Amino acid sequence: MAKFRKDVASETPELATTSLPDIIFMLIFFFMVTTSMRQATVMVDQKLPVATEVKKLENKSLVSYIYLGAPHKSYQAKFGTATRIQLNDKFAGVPDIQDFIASERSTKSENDQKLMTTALKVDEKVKMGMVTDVKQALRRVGALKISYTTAKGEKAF
Amino acid sequence: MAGSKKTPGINAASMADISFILLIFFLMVTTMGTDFGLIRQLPPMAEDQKNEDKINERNVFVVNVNQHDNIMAEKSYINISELRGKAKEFFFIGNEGDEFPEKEVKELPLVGSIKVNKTAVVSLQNDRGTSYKAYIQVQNELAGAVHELRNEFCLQHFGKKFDDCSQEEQDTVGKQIYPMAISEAEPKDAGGRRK
Repeated sequence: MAKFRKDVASETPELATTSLPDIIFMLIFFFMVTTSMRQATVMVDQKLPVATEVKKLENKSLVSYIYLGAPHKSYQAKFGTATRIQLNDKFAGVPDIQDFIASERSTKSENDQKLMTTALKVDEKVKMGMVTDVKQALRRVGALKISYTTAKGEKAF
Repeated sequence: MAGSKKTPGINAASMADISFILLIFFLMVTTMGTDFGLIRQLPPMAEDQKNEDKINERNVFVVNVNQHDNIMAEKSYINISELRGKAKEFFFIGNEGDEFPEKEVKELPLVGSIKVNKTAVVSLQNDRGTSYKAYIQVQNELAGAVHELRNEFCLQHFGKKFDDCSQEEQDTVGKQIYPMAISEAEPKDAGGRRK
């Protein structure tokens, strides 16, 4: 009797691992849902011009992106083919830049606000008039540090 | 019965799956590719325009880009490939003469007294119809000219390239001798608005 009981108690049961993948899957779904991916879906054509004298854009969390270009094929039926400004996930006009910069600023601490950079991601076919309008709007709100995002190349022309 | 007393090993067969899942997760979340760009400081919204006017004409290198992306530097049409050379010629501190910027002798740390440009500014004017590509090319060439001059100066005086210099050396060369002075004029609509 004593021997029988001892036998049963000493045998540690094997760890059941069949549910492990499910647990991990749950975790992954949790992360997928909660992680906000900062990069907006770009809805405009983006063929960036090539430059050689470029600097790396540091501190990505302090960079706000403004996209300029003709809307993608899938959006052309609705938005036409003229150059549009994209802020975050939607098309916008020049006056919206003020609100955009203000809302970008409000999420940063006061020290970081000075270091904020606005990256202009502009398609190479865009006319400078549009870019100038955006730049003037940025000057008006005092977002003076800008970066013309370009592709890095060996030769610029 | 000795065998049954051994602690059974943890089943590691699913480890691969777990790591795969983690891998996929990080692949999805990480934004790939770093951004490169030409970093510029915009002038604050102008309150007094008088500053512009005070600069002597010989201290300003005027670059115009029109709506057909033609480039005019100092009143003559040039090709984009000539721009870098022209700009270097303008900025180079060894060039003296009426067509080059005024020089003054400065006492600087590390290099001693040296003749530098008093003020040398590139004024970049573009039309609303200029393409962004041409604009970036011009910006790039102007920046390239300054970078090349800085590198040449540093090689000559410190025996290394500008990027390899110490902060102090970079400050001296970058701020006192060859500052990146590109002024962008208020936008003009010379070529007429084209949509």
